[in-house]
Amino acid sequence: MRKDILILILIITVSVLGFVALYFTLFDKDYQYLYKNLKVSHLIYNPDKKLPHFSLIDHNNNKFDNENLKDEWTILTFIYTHCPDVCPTELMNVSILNSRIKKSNPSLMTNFVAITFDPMRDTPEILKDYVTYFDKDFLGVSGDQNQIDQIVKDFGAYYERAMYDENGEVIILSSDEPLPANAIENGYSINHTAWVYLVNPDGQIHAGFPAPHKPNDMLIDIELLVENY
Amino acid sequence: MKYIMITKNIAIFVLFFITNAVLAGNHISVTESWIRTAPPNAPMLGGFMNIHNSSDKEIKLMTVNATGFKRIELHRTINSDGTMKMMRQNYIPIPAHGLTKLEPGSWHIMFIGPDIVPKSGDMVMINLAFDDGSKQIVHAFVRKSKMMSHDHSSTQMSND
Repeated sequence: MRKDILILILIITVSVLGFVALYFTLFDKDYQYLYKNLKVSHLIYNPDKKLPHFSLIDHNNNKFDNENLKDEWTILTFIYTHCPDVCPTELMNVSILNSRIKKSNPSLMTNFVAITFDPMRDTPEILKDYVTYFDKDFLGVSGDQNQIDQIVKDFGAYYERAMYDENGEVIILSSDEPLPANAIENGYSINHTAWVYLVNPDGQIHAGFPAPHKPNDMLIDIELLVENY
Repeated sequence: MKYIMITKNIAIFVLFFITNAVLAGNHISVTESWIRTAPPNAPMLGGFMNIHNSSDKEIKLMTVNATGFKRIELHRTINSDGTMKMMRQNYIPIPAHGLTKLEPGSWHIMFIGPDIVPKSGDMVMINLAFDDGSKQIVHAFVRKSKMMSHDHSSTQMSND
């Protein structure tokens, strides 16, 4: 009797191990293939780590939440309108990417979203004029600072604020430190990460593209990622 | 006779002074200047150019002036472990017998608070002042990106 049970346990154990090994081999193979062939992007997708719920407002003053990231691929950036250099470059490159996708892969429907680090100054109205200048397809997203801070964290992005005192010395404020009362009057800039993210039709973060952004290489990677999804 | 001597000395002194000022200005030349186009509600614009220094000493760009902006600052974009930092600079150095490129992702001039955001093709007259006393007037055209083919900017020296 004991012998039968032992054999049964052994069979079950071997089968389970076998399936696990097979799963990881197959799973690993896909990702190994992607890792080898992705030129400029990093595969971020983790099925065990879902993007938490967020609630923001788009530049048409409509609610923008997780549902808006579903059904289509989304190319998502974090920017702010008082950015003199990095954000305009990023938005220009993403616009070039948009036109490349339209030309070479018109059936690939993609949304373009630009979320602001700086909702205090970047209201929906201001964002609309700003982002649509770079590309009519861009959708600016603003909202409550806490919601913005949360989604920035969930994407693995980072920002801090920089101000200058009377002596010209820089003061760095982390995102959870409040801005002084004269901040808007005196001006402040934002130091930030500059990744472009690819969100899959399930509304999950799929891949990330660090700067510098090369639209042609990004397109090749996006096509590969979409193909292997 | 005495007055002629004095006048002569004054003339030589003035000539020497003007020559020095002109020669100091001669050490700097600016090429490929441009201002990047921006949205109609952009709070600031970026200015870029190549500054060449033919002298034996480092020269610093100290201030920039142009009408139609609230404030103009010098900045540098630095990638600090993946965080892009836009840091205000007291000056932009141009090495001896060298060149400093002001370009996106690097050194740049920040034109803050435009009265009206200039459009593509507009020209902005920029006054550059250096630590050796020299000045330059640069005509920068507003463009979407840096043109590689030929240089549309012109430079002029001023003895102000």
